[in-house]
Formats: sequence, C-alpha cells, structure tokens
Amino acid sequence: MTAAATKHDRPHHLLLAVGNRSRGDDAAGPLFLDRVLPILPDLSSVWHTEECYQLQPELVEEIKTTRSVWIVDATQEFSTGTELATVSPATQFEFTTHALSAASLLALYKKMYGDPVPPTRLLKIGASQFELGAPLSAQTQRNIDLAIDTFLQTIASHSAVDTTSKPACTN
Amino acid sequence: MDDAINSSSPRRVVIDPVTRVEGHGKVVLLLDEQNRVQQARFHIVEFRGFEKFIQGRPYWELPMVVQRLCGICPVSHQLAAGKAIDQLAGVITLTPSAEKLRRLLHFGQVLQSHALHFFHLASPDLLFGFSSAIEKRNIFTVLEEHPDFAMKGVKMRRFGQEIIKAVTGKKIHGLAVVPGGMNKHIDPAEVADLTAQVNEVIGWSQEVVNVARELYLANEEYHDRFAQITSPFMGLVDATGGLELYDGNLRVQEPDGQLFIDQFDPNDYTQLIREQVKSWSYMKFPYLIDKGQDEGWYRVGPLARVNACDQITTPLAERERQRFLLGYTTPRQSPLAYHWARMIELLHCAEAIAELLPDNDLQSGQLSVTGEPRREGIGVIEAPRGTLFHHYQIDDQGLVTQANLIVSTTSNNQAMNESIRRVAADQLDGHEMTPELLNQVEVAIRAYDPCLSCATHAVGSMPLQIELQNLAGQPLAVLSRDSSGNIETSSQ
Repeated sequence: MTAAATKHDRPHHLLLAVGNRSRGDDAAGPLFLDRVLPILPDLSSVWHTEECYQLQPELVEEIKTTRSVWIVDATQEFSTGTELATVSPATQFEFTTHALSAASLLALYKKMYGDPVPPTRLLKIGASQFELGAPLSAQTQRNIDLAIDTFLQTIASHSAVDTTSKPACTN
Repeated sequence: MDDAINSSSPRRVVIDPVTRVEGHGKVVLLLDEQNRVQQARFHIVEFRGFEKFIQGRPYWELPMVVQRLCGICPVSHQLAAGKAIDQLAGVITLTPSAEKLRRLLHFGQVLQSHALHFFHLASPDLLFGFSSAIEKRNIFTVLEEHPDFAMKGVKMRRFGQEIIKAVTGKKIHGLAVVPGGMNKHIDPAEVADLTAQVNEVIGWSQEVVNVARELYLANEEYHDRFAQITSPFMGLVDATGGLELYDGNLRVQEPDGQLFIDQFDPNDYTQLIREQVKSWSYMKFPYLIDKGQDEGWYRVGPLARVNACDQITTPLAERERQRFLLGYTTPRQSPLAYHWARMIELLHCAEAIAELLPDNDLQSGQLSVTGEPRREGIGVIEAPRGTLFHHYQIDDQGLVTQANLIVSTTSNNQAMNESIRRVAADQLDGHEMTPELLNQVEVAIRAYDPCLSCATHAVGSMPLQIELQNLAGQPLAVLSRDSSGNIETSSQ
C-alpha cells in the first residue's frame, strides 16, 4: 500500500459531475457543474472539477490528492428534489455495469491507499428520463436549482475550503 | 429458428439482468419439450435511437455529438465519425500530423478500454474461477489477493486516459477531430510526461499478457471448450495483412483459416454486410451477404483481429501473437481466448504509443486539409470491441439526412447468443436453474466485452434474477441474487 497523503499534500477539493449530457435527465450532474463553476471564482484555486460518464476505478488516483470529494449525479430513486448524503467505503456488487458506485469507489481507494479516505458527499438530483436525445425534464431543471442551493449552503457552512472533518448534512 | 411462435412449443427461461456488462441485459432461453435449450436470446434494450439522434445535425458536429453515444468508448465513435466527415469534406488523405495524432488517440483509447475490462471485469473470473462466490469474484478481492497486479491495472487505465486528454484536451467531451484533420498538436510537456511513463506501461503490459496466457493455458482444454462456437472472424488489416486498428481494409477469415475476403475496401461495406432485424431485439443482426442470414454471422474484436492478421507491427506483441497461435493450424475459436487476445492488443498499443511519442509530427506540421465536399461519408475503425462502421449522408446545408452505425457489439450479437446457448445446453438440466448456470452465462457474455448501454446512468445495484416461465409467461421458479450477493430461490 502507498502511504496515505497528509493534509498538506491535499490542497484541493474534488467535485465529480457524473452523467451524459445527451441522455435527458442524466445530464443533471454536468449541467450542475456548468452552473456552479462561474459562481465559484474565488474557490477555483482549491476546487478540482471533473465531468465523467461514470465512476471508474482510475478516479482513485484523483481522490488521492484531495481533501474532500463531492459527487453529483442524477438518480432514478426519486424524481423530485435532491438528497445529500455522506458516503462511506462499502464493497458493493454492481451487476450491470463497468461503473462503480460511490461507496465502491471509496472502498477501492481504501484498498489501494488505506486511510484516511477523504470525506465524501453524494448529491443526488432527482431524475426520470434517460433516453438518448431526450431533453432535460422541467422537474430535473428545478432539481438542479435546489442542488446548487444545497451545495452552496453546505460548503458555506463548512467554511467551504476546509470540510475534511465535518459530516455532511442530509436533507 | 428465431421465431418463438413458430418454434416447437418452447419454454422460456429468463435471466435478467446479466451482471457486469455495460447497460442492462436479459437472457431468455427457449426450451423444447425435452427441456433442451433450443435457442438463446440476449436482449439488449439500450441499442436504439442512434440514427435518429444523429439525423438533422450539421456534419461537422458529428465527432462531438457521437461521443455522447457511449460512456466507455466515446473516442472510438469520435474517430469513426471523423473518418466519415473527412470524406464529406472531400479529404482522402490526412496530413502526417493529423494521422499520427489520431492514431495516438486511438491507441490510448484501446489501451484504457482493454485495461478496464481485463482488470475490473475479466480478471476476477479468471483468477478465482467461474464457480467462486460472487463476493469473491470482484475487483476488491483482486486487490486483496493480488494488490500489485490490480494497482497496475488502475494505472494503465489512467495512462490511456491521459493520452486521450493530451490529444483532445479532456478525458471526455474533448474535441480534436475536425473535417480533414485535427485541430491542435500535442503539448511538448505532455509528450514528456507520457514518455516518462510509457516504458513502465509496456513492462506492465508484458506482465499482464503473461498472466492472461498462463491463466488460459493452465486449463486449456476446458477453456477451449467453454462456450465454444465456430465462426468466421472479421477485422481491418494493413496492406501487408498486419493488424490495423485505425485504418486499412477488411479481411474475413474462415474457421479453417482460409480467407473469405481480403483487402476489401470498407467504403463498400454495404456489399459485404447486411443487417437483419428480429422482432424480439432492438439490436440488429449483421451477416455476410454471400453466406446468407443463417450462416453469415461472424465475430469481431480482439480474438478476430489477432486470429485474422498475418503479423503485428510491434515486436513484443508480435511475439505474443505467435505464442497465441502456437500449435494451432486454424484460428482459436473459444470466446475465453478473447481475454488473452485483448491483452496482446493492449501490449501492442503500449508499444505503438512508445513509437509515436518521439515523432515531431505530433507537435508540429500542418493539421488539416480541405477538398471538394461530398454528400456521403463512411468511416470504419477497429474499436476496442471490434469493427465500427459510421455511414452518413448529408443535404445541401450539410445536415445529416441519413445515418447508419454498426457498432462492434452488434456484429457480435449472434455470436453471443450462440455462446450462451452452448453454455446453457451444457448446464441447464430441466427446470433446475443453478447459480452455476448464471455464472457461466455471464462469463460467456463478458468474454466479448459487450458495451450494451452506450448509456451512462447508474441506476443502482440491481438484483440478478433467473426466471423460468411456462408458455403462458407465468413464472414457474425464480433464482435471484441481490446486490449483497445473496441467493434466493422461490417456486410459484
């Protein structure tokens, strides 16, 4: 195992926006990122952002140098609203895809690099349609607005750039 | 044969969904009155809407637009569309800089895709056995028991993505391909960074080829027999018959090793291949026209390419190709040999990247050319999973009026069904559906590395279920596996 990085080695926070812009509400994560980037100018030096189709194993390399992680993704679990939750490493068996769940990604990180696993939040955005070429639904558009509010409020309440030891809220 | 209504009183066994392949799949096994497996149907629900999605768009946007089709191999779609729009722009020959940049991009894409499949999906089956518990057959156990091996897999995948980012500007949604060429050179600092890593990646690639070979040969007779089917193989080759991933002409190799077609111009693919539609599947069934619908199915991808080519241009991969065929006078047919062939290609990509990186054409030189615009363009490349066809027609305004895509997984459609049927015929005993059946069906499908979704959204951990139905569609028994790996059975 590689020795875990120290806090000093981890100057950045990582924001992962997950989804495909051409599959209806699956675009929620990337569209969230588009909206958030311009309103975080003062924080750009401490935030690393990445847009990805899926959570994949090599993202552990990005996590290695981060102090905290935000994962923003559309969810089919509900269609209205958002949900913010902390994520802990957990080995899960995804039967259908090359992709990892957020918990599995952290478990992979822990297996590879040991503790500490950066505090990680999963911000789910309610979504309902995922067909290729489908537009973003009006409800998910509203959900993105809510997600941005949740994100900004949370990072503000946690001093934005130092969230390493504080749990995320759930709403 | 394919029409359930006309088949002789088939019963249905449903396996839904299939694990660890992209998207969601469902397997239906049709049984005859003696409970013998008459037919396997691998349902893939995500393959729809490609052409509609593309129609009406300006052709110069295609390389960007088609990337959204697939979360696993967006670069393959970008390059195939790029070759097609070269033709629409009237460009036949690219500049050396553009061609080498595209090849570098393609090698990076194939390398990262092959690494992901082998380390994340295939290696658990091969290292721990098809019958081991699902809790064990995953990347986490690979990390526990073979940490060095697994770490290299993750880093190789990342290296491939760094190449994609260096050439296109981003890991996803980067745009470098333009009509008639590329839009930027690669930055010297990025060349230096990649050059510093590439020899280590070649070394890792050699190691993983050794692992794939040794795992296969450790039980060669069983692996040869597993899900074995016999088919022709298709792939691109260069002018000397060598392995070619980006360009070249089509070759079809018969099961006895003879060449059915060689140096066939891919622009004439509609004279070679036709697609059959079946009522039960969104995915089409391509076949070789001269062999007919029933006999004309074929396979593409690493196994097809390594079997069909005469040589590989890079020395280490060529040595491994010769080992792969050692003792064989005809092509290897087992689907499990895909894993071994895939790693030979991974090594080839690493070597090819090392050869390209010092080339000054990557950092300087003319990037694009123009020509006399045309109304029709065809782009064909070897994507990680096999031959990929993009075919477009445009109107006076340059808007796409017609599009036809044959993705690699589609070409392997019938082959996957046949492999499933072979496995099920060996495993299914009456109505007794065992986890072993489920495991083996999955292993057979995974060998082809199908990309089923071209979608990206993770809908969460889904239960795995095998269902036995009577003719009226009523379930007789259910075998399911939940996201924790727990098995449950029930009778109706």
